[in-house]
Amino acid sequence: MVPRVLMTLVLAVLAARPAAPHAGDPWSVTVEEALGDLTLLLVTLGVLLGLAWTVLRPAVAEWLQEVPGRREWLGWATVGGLLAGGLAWVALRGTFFDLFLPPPPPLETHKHYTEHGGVVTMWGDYHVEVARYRSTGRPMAQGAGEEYRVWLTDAYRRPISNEHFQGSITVTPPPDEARPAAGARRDLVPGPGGPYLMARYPLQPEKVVVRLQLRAPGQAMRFRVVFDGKAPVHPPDRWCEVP
Amino acid sequence: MEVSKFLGSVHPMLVHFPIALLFAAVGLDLYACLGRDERAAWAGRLLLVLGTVGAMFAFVSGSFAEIWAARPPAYVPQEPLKRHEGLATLTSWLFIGLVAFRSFLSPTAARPLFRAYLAVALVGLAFLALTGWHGGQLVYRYGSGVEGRTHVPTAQDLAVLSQRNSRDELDYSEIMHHIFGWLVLGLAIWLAYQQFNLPYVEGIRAIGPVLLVAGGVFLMIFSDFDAWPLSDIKPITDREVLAHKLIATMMILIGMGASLVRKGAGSQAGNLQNRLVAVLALAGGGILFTHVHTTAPYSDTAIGVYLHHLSLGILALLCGGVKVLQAWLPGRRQLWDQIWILLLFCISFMLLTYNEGIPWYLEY
Repeated sequence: MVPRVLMTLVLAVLAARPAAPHAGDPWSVTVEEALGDLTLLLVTLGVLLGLAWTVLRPAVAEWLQEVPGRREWLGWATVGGLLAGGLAWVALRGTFFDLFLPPPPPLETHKHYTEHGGVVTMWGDYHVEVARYRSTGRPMAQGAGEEYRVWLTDAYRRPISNEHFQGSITVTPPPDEARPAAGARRDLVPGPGGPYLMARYPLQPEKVVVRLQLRAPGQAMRFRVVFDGKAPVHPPDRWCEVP
Repeated sequence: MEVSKFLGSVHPMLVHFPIALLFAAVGLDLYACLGRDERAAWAGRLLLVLGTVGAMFAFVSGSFAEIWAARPPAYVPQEPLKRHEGLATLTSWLFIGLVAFRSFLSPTAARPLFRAYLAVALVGLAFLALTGWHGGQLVYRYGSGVEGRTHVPTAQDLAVLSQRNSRDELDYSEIMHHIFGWLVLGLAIWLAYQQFNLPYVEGIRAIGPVLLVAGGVFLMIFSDFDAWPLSDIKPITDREVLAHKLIATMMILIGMGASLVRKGAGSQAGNLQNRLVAVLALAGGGILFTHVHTTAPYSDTAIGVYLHHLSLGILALLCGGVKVLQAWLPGRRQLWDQIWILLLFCISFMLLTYNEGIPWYLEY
């Protein structure tokens, strides 16, 4: 009887697996972190429950004397055990069982979805999205012009702050690509509303070639993107150099 | 910022205290068990407490050191930092549990339990050694804290360095701390009311436990909204969520216990209560010292949170110390009660003026 009950409990435990990676991190919890969290939980609960018992014991003993019915005592103990077991189950299943069960599929990496309506390309684990925004109203002095924004993300498309990368951009019409005009190259500056770099230009022809040079710590990247007002005409070329 | 850099720079100095004191403590307890020596047992218990307090200070200084190691220009890889932090959490909490367990043990009166304590303590020492070894690797292999040594960070490391809390998250956290500042202020006033034996004091006695239980239930429900329902988006095993729920549980149990003890009579209940509160203050201080800011772990907000928690943790340890003195020197009970109330007023002031970021008293 007892081995069967134990086996059932073990199988039930093994059957309960978390549906997503721990704490939303892209990778599974490490052994050290899991053991650390588990120890923190068990020690604190043990300290609380074990020492609280030294204070609560006289009151519980007095209560038992007043209400000696074994059935009621067992009932309350069962309810308490289920509550404690449920809490421990929920708390433990995200860490302890991560160590012994096959890890769930990791979050997708290198997903080239566009978040800002631009073009996405990659270099190693880095992903770059370049977006072109055009305002075709009045001349630039009165608000018209174009803006190019550059976002840098990691393999899981988490944003990297513009504090950690710099660069420059060159925007030219295709015929002038080999010999860009003066002023075609501009340094990217931090954007006011998010973790991107940007540069502003007067209104350009619909079809332009954009060349980017980005520098992150230990990395140098160059990109070439063609914008024609719709989708890019050519897929972005990329090549890299080691600084 | 300079304060946080200084606190991070003393981490290599502070780690010597838990390493030396805890090894000596367990050694003395081992001798006490084998030789049935009460003096050695007393010394071992004292060193265990001092070593564990030292471990807490070493941990919080390590939190500051971790931030500056991961930031530019060093860019120490985050994976070995997290590994060392995980082992330090395990070791610190193992010894907090051992202190609590050991405080009620005698090598002569409860030998089987004392042997069990020694077995777990030896495991704790093994983890302490492992933590120290990993810490050494951070310096010798990764150059952590070595001027001029830099690394090329991964894209993932840069993304974690870029994480920031939203304004809503910061405002919510500040509101919660301020609410609990009012709660602690209420408790301090409640205790002061009894201390000065003001009118209707018998009826007022019931209010304190009610405040504690109500505060614990409030914290259990309203802390970390994105952890409800219990899910993997932000599970209960997330360290911040875990810390908040454990504090809530502590408050509920302390309130219930205080209510039951209040009905009991005699100094034994009071003595037990003092020891209970002393150990719970140690646990509370431990939670504060070992609190890790899991969202945006390398931001300025994290630095500010650690500075606040350092101050609050020191006050929590002082509260525990006062209760220990109350148990050892009961003749000066009135003095300890007054100091206890004063400490509660200090904690309430710290909570009421809490801000997410560099503490207001350090802004210059």
